[in-house]
Amino acid sequence: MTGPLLKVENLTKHYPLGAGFLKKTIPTIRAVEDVSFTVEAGETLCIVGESGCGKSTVARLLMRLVDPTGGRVLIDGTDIAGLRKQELRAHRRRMQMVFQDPYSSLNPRLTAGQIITEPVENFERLTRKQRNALAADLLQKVGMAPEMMHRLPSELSGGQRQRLGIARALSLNPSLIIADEAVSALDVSVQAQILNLLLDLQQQMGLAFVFISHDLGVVEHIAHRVAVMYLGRIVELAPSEALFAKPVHPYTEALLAAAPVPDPTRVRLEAPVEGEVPSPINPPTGCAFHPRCPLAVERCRIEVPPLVPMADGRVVACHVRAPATESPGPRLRQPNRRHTVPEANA
Amino acid sequence: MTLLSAPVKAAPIGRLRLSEIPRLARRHPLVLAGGGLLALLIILALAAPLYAGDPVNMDPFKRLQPPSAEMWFGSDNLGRDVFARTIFGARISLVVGLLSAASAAVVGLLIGVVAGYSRGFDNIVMRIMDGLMSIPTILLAIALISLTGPGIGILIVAIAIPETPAVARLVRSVVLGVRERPYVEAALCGGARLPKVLWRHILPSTIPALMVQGATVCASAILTEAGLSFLGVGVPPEIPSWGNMIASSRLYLAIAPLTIFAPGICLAVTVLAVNLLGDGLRDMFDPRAKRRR
Repeated sequence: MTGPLLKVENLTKHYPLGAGFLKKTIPTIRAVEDVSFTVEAGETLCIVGESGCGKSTVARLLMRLVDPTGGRVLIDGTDIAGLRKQELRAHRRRMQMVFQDPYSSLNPRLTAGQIITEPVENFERLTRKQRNALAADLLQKVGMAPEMMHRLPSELSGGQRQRLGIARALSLNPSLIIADEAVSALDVSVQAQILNLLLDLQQQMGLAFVFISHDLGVVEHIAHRVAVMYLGRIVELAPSEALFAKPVHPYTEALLAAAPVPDPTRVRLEAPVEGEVPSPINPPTGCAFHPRCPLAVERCRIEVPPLVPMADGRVVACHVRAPATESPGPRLRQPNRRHTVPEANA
Repeated sequence: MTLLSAPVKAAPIGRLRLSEIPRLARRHPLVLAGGGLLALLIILALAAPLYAGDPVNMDPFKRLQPPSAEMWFGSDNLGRDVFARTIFGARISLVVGLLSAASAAVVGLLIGVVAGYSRGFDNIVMRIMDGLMSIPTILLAIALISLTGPGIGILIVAIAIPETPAVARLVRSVVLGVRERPYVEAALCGGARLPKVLWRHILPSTIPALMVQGATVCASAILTEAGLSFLGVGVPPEIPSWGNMIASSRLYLAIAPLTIFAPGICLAVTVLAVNLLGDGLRDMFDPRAKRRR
């Protein structure tokens, strides 16, 4: 097989706000704007960003739980954005999703065994014996006792429920698992267990992950590559070590600086970036980050910066830090010492 | 929200074990009272031939008799046994009530589930439902019966039609809420076909609301049947029903009050039983609603 496992090209999703029957222009929420990335087999790509930046919409677009406004999602070269519902069913076997909330993502009326074997039963008939064997096998894979298959979700803990969610995703032997904030609803200690389970499964089964998170600590722990999203666009996509060692995009810089570090002696920066995230209904012109960016120049207000490849294998969308052509010109505001990030700690 | 509501667990439908019934009954006395009363009525009605006399036999020499060992509730203006007529009348009320409720529930459920899931269907069908809702039950029954002649079947249809939209709306609203739940999306991700998603993941959530609504429909159907029979457009007059009895005896209230009170009280008790059951079920399925009261 040649080419990447998953290739996303110019993925875009606009949500119209209300039906425009008489009004000529309907306001739209630009949830995802021109997002492109690839995921290789066995690789973990993390998508980070603050609430409302379109991370979860990307996950839902990948699973085609929502239809994209534009762009392509190629899994093994097949564009699932263009498939009919029937063909889509077959391709859903290749990628599965683990949901954020382990409480609402399991049907409260079905037993653990029924929940995790249902995907397989959508494709083939199982005898009672086969079903029990499959359930026991899947439970063992996620570190649970086979006896648990007769329990209802309400009789399980949050961590066990999330293990069930993972077992359900594994049941179809997918090559890619999309995890949308899969650990953020769990306690820190349980988070670690679940993350380690995911990493073990990745090693054993060669799974690829698209892992969506806002928790940079988690991301640093598991990611091979990280995509940073801001207001529906990817602003920086870099190998994990490179990104955490030296963020290039000013937004990435601010995001990393804002993350809590368990070191009381470290001086926290006051508000690395000022202001609020603008509304995706009416995003700023040019670079969406320019109203808050300490480095912004005139050009940032006019032109959307393209993703420019850098020497260390990352791509960055910034006119100042990663100029595509000539020098960016004078800054819009005075550089402020508060905005500079100290040496990233090793 | 899910975390907060976790301790208040609604009884899971479909996994009710027989051994749990006494415990459930203690915790939900309304269900026990309503269900028990209704069960008693059903048994009495089914076993009627075993202990009650002939409800249609007329005896002109025993008109408007007071209660006696032979006829416990006395006799009516045609000399018929009021006790037997009351007991046999329960059959009519229960059959009409239960069957109207069941047919309104089944049709309403189907329409509601599909309307809740499909937007295009929703727009058209729910407007039709709005139209049906505006038809007065009694007028529709009179119109239908004047077309086909009196009969229990047509009566059930006439009562069920105007009750269906309420059920459909209720089911639709539940479906609209449930279809966005992550476990429904998870089922779709797992490759489940739409009918399976509807049947296995969406439909069970509508059952509690459907049962509560069904009880309400049943109670009102019993009353509507009695009303129609009283007006002379319901059950054919030769069949004993509570509405017929009250209608034919209303002139003799002062002479033989039991001819009216017996069916009247039975009617009230039956409707009460069904309503108690409905309220009890609602409290059982939604414990928060009970606390708020």
